Amino acid sequence: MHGMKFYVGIWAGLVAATVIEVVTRSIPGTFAVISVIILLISSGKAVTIAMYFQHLRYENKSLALLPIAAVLGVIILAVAAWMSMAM
Amino acid sequence: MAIAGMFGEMMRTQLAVPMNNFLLANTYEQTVTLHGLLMILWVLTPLGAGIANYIVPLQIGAKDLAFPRMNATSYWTYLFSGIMLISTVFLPGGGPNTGWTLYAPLNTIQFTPQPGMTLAVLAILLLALSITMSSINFLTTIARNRAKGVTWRRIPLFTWSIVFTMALALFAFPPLAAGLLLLSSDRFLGTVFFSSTQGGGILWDELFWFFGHPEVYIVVFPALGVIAEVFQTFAKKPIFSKNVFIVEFAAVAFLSMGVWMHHMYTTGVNYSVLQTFSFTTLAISVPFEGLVLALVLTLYKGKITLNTAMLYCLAAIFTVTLGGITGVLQAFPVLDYAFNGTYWIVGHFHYVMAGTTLFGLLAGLYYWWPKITKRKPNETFGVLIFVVAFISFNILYFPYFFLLGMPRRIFTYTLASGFASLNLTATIGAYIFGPAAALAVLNLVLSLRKPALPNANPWSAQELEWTQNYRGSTATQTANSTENVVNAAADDPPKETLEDRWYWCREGNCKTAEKPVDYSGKNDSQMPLRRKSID
Amino acid sequence: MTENYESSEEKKSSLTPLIIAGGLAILFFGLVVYIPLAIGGAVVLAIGVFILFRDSVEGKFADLKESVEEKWPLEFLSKRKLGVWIFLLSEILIFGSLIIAYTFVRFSSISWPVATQVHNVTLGMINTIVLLTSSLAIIFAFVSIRMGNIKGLKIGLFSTFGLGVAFLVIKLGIEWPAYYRNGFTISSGLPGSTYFVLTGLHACHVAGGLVAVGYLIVRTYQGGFTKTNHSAVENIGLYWHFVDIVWMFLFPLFYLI
Repeated sequence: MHGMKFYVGIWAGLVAATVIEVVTRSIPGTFAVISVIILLISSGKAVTIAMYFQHLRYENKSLALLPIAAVLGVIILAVAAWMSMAM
Repeated sequence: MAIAGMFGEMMRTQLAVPMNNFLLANTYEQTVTLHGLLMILWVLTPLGAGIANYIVPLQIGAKDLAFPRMNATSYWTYLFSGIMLISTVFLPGGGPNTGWTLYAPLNTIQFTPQPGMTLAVLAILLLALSITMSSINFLTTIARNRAKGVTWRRIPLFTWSIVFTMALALFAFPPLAAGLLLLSSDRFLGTVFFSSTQGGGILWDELFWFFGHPEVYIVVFPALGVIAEVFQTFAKKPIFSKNVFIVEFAAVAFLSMGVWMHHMYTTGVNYSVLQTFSFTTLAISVPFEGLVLALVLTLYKGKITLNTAMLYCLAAIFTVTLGGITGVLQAFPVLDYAFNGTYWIVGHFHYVMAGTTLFGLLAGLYYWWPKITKRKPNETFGVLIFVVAFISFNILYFPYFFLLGMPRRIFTYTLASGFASLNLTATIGAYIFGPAAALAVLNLVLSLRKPALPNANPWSAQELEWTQNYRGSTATQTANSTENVVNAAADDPPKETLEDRWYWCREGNCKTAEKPVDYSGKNDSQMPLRRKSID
Repeated sequence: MTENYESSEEKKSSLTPLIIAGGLAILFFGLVVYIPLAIGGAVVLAIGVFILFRDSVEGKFADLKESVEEKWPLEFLSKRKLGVWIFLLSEILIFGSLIIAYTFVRFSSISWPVATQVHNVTLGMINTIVLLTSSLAIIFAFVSIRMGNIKGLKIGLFSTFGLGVAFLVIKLGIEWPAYYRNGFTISSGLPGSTYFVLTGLHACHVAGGLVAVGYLIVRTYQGGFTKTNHSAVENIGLYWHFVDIVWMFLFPLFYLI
């Protein structure tokens, strides 16, 4: 469905995002805000790879549900673990 | 299973009288640990998976599992990991002696230096690998290898229970593997994950119990599936509302991933955690109770046949109710502060695990024995052994609920504590229950000496697996005309993916738009797949 | 009426499960008890995997012809691909749990070194781009073979392999020795422990992926892939992209934050 040009375009976007992440490290701001921005960028990169390189955008919706369920499981563990940390 | 059972017997012998020195303290602790690990991980979980291995393909009309060689790999890995675990007692220093929960920092080299512990950790890791392979196999099989006409709604309840079991296993075992990896790196490479004072113990708890709680549902779900099947056959009625049953099953499975911190109430976690998890734990009892209610309502107004399999299932309903009620009481942190670490908890989980699961799976063996071996087990002995087993089971475990003051995993107690008479009762129960369980299995094996039955369906069961031959032809598969075969000859491109179709159509091959056939089963009846004649 | 299943082909059973399981068990046992035994176990495991690959290349144990069957809601999805996706779910959970463990110990700690001072951000960024390019390379291989272009397939696969090796060399050959010289080791405390265990596990997954890509290369040369029969490239590609996704999170979590 897509030729190489499309994928090279995605790749260029990902590399650019990486550079932006590194640069974000040095902008002024609190640790928390910077961390959140950087992690949002990485999540965006991960989702892009999943959708286009792993082709999830064009597959069955039910298949795309599977990794979403797994990520949900991880989020449940994360939220509960962090909740229990705030003692 | 025999070895784990023997460990159980050894434990009860030690606890029979106060100040007993049948087993030394360290030996007792190893026995406790290995009894727990072996029973939960190497006996109950694989027993359900083993029955599923045979029955699930038959129930959905498949020839075999999706990945047969991976199936074999997961079996051998399981076997070798079990041998590894048992061999730890022969290493210098003995085997793991921390309890099956392997709490940190007790599990670090500093406090448990023996290599047997490290080997045990690796053995459990190997088992996690085995079960993950199994879960991939089963889930792919059930999603993809069903015969024509076996829509999702028509899948029999045992297979549905395996769907949820394996989905939970897929999600639960990786965090255990993660924890074991961190523990291994602590023991091999000198990392400090669990020995550091900054949350090391709680870290282990989080990872372990995020696995541990779904694990107990993984253990019990196949038994519930068996009970559903047996009740349907021997009450000659379909399950009370199959859709609701499946939805409740899904609810229990989903919620079971959100209740694990109720094992950690006493670790000093903060109040909001206690609140949240007691809420979810109470919430999970609702669909679970719905499941049990549906099972019991299936019997209502049915024509009940009381044979061995049915009796075991009824016993399983009794134990799951009793165990479940005690579980609901434990959901309250206030009460759990009193219960935790005592024999009340031991009673609770033996009722649900040894009771429901063991009885349920024994029922499954008795029920499907004619299918697997074409021979009927001896009913008289079966019922007799059942009565002995059930009574001795209760003699063994009911006293535990009265031993509220007795801590777990202690290797002896003083005469003054007052625990003596109850412990002795329990031990007597154990001496009867162990052999009874063994005899139940022996009864099955002895039936192999009898000649084969002409009718491999002595119960006149209606479900799909009774009409199929393992790995052979079936009554339900339609003739395989070549145009129906998906993977046609090599020249014709497989239309496996949407992209394939796109390319194929682009090359001018699709003259008309193809609409996929509606297999969604929206208009199906909810009855299990029936044969033509009803006896 | 019996299916193709009962034909003589299917009566063979494979020894690879037993060999692979045995190799794994001996490896683990040896790690604890007697290291040379572990090496023996690793050899047995390697032999098992090799036989497995050879069987696949020779096309033995190919899938049974699937008859008409129920597939809703997963039509247009091959069995192997579904299997790979379910496997990736378990991998999401294992890496997710480890990352949560890392955040847990980090935020329970009183102090933690500043990331950019301990880690070499430049090398990390280069490695990230290397891994991204290797993902692109395997996409190139896949797109090529879909057009029937075997040469493109080979170029793509070799590039993926080379870039993967580059990733490992930069990490294991340049970065890690530098850290060890500076005293930042696996046992130097929680920051070291978490970094080395997580990125080490990731590196193991990269190495495993390289073995798989190597198998693809061998199979290409033996003529195993055609315009219509190339699902292995796609499936191993899925795994490779997943390894890349994990790194997308590990890089900022350790090097930047």
